[in-house]
Amino acid sequence: MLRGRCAARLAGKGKRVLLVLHTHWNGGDHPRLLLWAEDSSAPRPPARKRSAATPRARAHPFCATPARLQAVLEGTTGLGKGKAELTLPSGRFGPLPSPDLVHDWDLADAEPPRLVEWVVSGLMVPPADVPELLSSRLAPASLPPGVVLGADARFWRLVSGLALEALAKQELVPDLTVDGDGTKALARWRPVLDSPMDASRLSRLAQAMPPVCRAAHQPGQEPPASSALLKSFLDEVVDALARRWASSAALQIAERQDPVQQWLGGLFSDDGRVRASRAQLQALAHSHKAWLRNLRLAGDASYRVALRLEAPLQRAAAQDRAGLHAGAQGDEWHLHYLLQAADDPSLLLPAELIWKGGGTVLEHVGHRFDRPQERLLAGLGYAARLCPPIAASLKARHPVAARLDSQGAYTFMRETAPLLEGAGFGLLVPPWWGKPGARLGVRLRLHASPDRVRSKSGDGSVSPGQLSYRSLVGFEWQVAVGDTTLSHEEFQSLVALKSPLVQIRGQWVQLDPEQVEAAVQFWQKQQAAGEMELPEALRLALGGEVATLADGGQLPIDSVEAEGWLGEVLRGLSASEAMEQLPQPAGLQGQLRPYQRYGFSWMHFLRRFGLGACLADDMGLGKTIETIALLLHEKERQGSLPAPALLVCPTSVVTNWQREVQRFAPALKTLVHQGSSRLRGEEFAHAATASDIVLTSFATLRQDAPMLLRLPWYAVIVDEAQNIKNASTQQARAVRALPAAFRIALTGTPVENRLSELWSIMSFLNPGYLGSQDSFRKSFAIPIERYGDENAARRLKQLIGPLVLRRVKTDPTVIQDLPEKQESKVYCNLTEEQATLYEAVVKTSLERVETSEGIERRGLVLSLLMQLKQICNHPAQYLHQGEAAAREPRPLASRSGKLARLTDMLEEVVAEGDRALVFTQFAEMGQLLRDYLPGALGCPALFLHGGTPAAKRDEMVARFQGDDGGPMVFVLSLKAGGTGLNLTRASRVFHFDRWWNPAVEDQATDRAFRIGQRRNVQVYKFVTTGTVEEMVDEMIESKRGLARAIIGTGEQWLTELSTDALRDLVRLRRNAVEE
Amino acid sequence: MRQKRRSRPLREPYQSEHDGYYDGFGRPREASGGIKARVQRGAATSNWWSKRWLQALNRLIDPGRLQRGRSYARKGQVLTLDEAEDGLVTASVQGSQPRPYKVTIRLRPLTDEQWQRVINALASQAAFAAHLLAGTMPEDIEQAFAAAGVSLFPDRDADLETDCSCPDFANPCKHIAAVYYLLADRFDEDPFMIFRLRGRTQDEVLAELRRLRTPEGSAPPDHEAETPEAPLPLDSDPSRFWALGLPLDSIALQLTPPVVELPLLKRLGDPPFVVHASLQEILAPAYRAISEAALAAAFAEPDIAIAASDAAPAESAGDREPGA
Repeated sequence: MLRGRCAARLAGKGKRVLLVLHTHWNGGDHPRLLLWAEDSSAPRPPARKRSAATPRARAHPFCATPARLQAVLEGTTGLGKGKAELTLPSGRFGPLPSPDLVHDWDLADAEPPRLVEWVVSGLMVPPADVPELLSSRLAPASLPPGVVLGADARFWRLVSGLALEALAKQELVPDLTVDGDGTKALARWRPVLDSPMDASRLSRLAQAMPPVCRAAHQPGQEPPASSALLKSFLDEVVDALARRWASSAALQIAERQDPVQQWLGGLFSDDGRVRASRAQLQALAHSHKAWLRNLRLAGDASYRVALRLEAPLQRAAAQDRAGLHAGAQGDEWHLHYLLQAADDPSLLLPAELIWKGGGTVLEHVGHRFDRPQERLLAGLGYAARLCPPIAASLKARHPVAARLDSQGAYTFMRETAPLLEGAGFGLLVPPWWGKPGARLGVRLRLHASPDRVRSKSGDGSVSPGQLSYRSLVGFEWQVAVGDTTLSHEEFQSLVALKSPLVQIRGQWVQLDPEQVEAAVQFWQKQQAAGEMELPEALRLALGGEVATLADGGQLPIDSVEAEGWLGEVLRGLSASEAMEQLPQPAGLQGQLRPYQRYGFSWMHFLRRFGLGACLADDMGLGKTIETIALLLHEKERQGSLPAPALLVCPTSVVTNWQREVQRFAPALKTLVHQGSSRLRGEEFAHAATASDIVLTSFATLRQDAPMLLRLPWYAVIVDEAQNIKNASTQQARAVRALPAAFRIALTGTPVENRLSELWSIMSFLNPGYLGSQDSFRKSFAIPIERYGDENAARRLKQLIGPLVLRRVKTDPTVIQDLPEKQESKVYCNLTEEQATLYEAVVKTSLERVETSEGIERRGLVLSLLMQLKQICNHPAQYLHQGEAAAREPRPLASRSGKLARLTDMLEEVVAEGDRALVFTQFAEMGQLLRDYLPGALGCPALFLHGGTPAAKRDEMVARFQGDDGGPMVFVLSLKAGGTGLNLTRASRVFHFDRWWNPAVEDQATDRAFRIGQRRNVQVYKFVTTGTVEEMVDEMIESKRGLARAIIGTGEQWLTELSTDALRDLVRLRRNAVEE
Repeated sequence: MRQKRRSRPLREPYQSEHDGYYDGFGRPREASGGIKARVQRGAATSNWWSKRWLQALNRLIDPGRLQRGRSYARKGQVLTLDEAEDGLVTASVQGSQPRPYKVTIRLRPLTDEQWQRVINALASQAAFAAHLLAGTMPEDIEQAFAAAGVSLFPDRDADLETDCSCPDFANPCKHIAAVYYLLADRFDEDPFMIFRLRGRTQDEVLAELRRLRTPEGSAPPDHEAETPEAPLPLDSDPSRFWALGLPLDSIALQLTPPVVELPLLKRLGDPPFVVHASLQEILAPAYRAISEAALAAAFAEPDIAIAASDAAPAESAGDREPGA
């Protein structure tokens, strides 16, 4: 949770950094991109009178200064400053902030907003630097905490990616522009995006452009059209970058006087000037324009010329016994001429109709074709240059098709068609062209038997059916055409036909020469069979598309067949119903819900094949209990675990795990390995072997790695796996190095959305499965995260799908299993600072309590308990440090175990888009939380306490319940409003500290859980272990039934305790203090 | 070829017969900013069409005299070249005098009846119309003209009418000859120019061809100009003003190298006005450099300065260890 912690550090210093970045493109004479930002740390803009006529635009009141931008954004110090005048919706207080800005200002205004001009200032980015800035530096993952991109910045970011695409694909022409009076000419690189896909994308981009992008204009004039701005951006950026990048290949101008050479040279120079006389420029422009006419010959926005290739009819007599028939000389393929409507590609007009119908306008099925005959002829005239058979067909008066033989048909499809398609023609090829059934491919057969594995691990320690990740799988490649596997002889006869288009059993098949060659090599080198490791077999089976052979040739993989247990794995991985569901372990205290049973059966299933599992359920669904169930199941089945399991988790969670194991599976013996008094060396080894689960923290793992690496672990389980999201950190490396029979990662975040995190976790769970980090970045991370490549996303999903299980609270299968209200305890530790304060208070107070009695005693006891509660909350609260605490160098969350844990949990809640209530009985704590949380979480927080006026309270409730971009966390004091508050928007409730009276607590909780609550609500009660909080909690739990009768509504009952009982209650158990 | 003389020189008659320069009037002045002909010695890139024009001229005119104009043309002595609507070609050529000479050339137009026969011949094969519409001159166009008993290029003295303000009596003078060479270049780019000079515009020819193909002949609608998109006024509602009109993830990018190298240059073919080498060859290194740099930029790691500086403290703060 990198962001939160950094922000916490900064927030600890009292700064809230919330900037919304905007990028403005002014497509004018000197086009530049202006980077500016709204800054919420500015004071609230003052109210202004609405004046009818504003002499000139004022400065935007909360626009970040250029200096501030340079300070916040890395690498921008070289950029110059600039300004722009933008027309923005404004109200009484000036321009209205954009919806992304998180601010505190009260900008209520009765009147509707008007458009008013404002001057914004920022940094100017020259066109050539725009993609680097937008795509790389301002990538959301690289932004500092508290800085977000406005919608317009995200928009231009995508457009600059499109510019890069045009450059990468070389979709540019060298252009020449001559200005009005013919004296000044420029050579430019112009992008040409005229394919149907491009036209569709450009149209959507124009629609997507946020209106703010067009906001720079003179009053009274119309704002620029979005397509014009888009074109201007693409033209400028492409030209600037092409010029810069081509400079390494710059031409030497031999003849300075030659206008053509001047033009070519201008493509590489800084200013692009073409120096020539007016007449020369006129001549050159004329020639250039004629040259470019060729771009338009295939068609335009309404329709285009299309060609359809038709295979000859089958000639039964000519086939040989094997059903093979090569394209013979007499075979006639026909290339039909048609016109195709642009908006409905299925609407095709054959040439026959065109010749019969109107010459000027043809109406057909509601579509109108202008000048169809001439367009057809123009297109054919162009195509004739590339394809001799078409030229030959033009000898007719009214040509309708061209005739080709098999070789000609193959050449057409392989070579001519791509060029024509690129030129904008429609190409309709036979349905079998390029399909797996109609070309050479390979089939992969995988077979594996358990025998082999059993013989590998001679000792009986691994039971039958259990495999290691390094198991070997036998494979065999076969050459096939569609469904038909070819025998060697058949393949050889195919090759002997020497025809690129062949009919096999009535089906036309294309034999690309390169693939034939590759297949020939195949048989020759006999690399068709062998053994490969399980991960590679899985990778090919799940996501492989192409087989790369030893000599570099490639053949497409048509299908993968797996036999034996491997087939079972693949079936089980892809069809969840096929997987066996395990029964609940006998020793489990507590009932597993159906989806939880599924979860632990799934982990078990993967474990059988040595595969590491990633359980990524939402927080609160029960990952803990599923893991415990798995280990308990193993123990029960085998009698005892062959070696202990090691569970690594954040420090603040270790105790929680221990408690949970105790609660759910008392039969499992745990050993907590952390703190300064932990065991070492032999002692540790001994104790570990004697337990079932060893719990340790990431920090301890880092320190004790050498020792922990020496023990053979049964399993390694990583909780909160986002802690190893950075593969190069020490803890990630240590975790990967631990020897284990199988591995599990638990995380609450949607891991498939953060790809570098995914790679790191997967390289722990199944090393090598996703390839090297570099190849993963190139094949998946960058295409998916930066450029939205859907193919890559789909392939990745297929690869990891079987290994990651994620359920969310809103899943239909899950939601019906969840009770409406789920309560759980969150056990936290004290920090050293808190412990010291705690013990000091206990000591002095008990002394005084002992020597007092009656009312005085009662008062002292209550005061003692109050102080201890405050210490457990946060030292700053107890010490009444208030504002001063924020200025301390130590981060606020590091001083209190509870606050640390709360921050972690709230980060997850906010990331999932849920809202939460946080209850505390102390107004001071509430204030502390309300000041601290926005910086830590990046979203606003509300605080309601007894002193909040009613109107404000209503407004806050309305914002929380209704506002979509509003506050996600609502801190409330327990006493706040006995009157009904409806806070059903919240799905999580945190009790930061407890009022030791269940009735009062429940009532507070129920403010979230009321009629109208559609979500299930999770309630977390924070308990600091080893302290009075835990003791009292246990007491309340054990007496729950009687509690209501005895306890009443107050905490008075505590004062009735004897001093000894009291001492026992408040004494600090040191072993739970975190190191 | 008749030559109209505008003015009589005051000097003696010259004695040129050799190279155009030394005709007694001295070397031509340096012309700056003139149009240079692309005609080269045995140029491979010169279109067959312009070669045919020069061949046709060679039959009518003394080849030696034609040659005189070639060096003028290659040097760029022709300063301007314009075609009037009625088919008259005018040019100004820098000679030895300070003031450039004015040249006019007119081809005799074909008669309506002759054009009718030509068009009938053109209509017999789709190839003619196809190539003309695609902007190139079909290779056997002359056969179509021949079938109509007409020659496309001037084949008689009476077909060419020229004039020049220079004092040279030669026939043609080197100035006119220079313009002939430049016309060759123009014909390369604009096949229909020869048609215009002989009395029909492209539209007229195509319209008549169209009429022959299909008898109903309503006037074709004007080529619809792209209606400019009417820009939408800005929305003052803040929730829409700042927001995207469409979700961005519906627009995908494909950052890959081109399937075929230099796709656009291949689509366009080599331009006739670049003569010293193939444009594809000239620009291929530039295109490749651009493509590689674009891919490198697209896949570059973002500056990890920010992330790195956080990684260190985040790691040690990973478990909230105070003072660790």
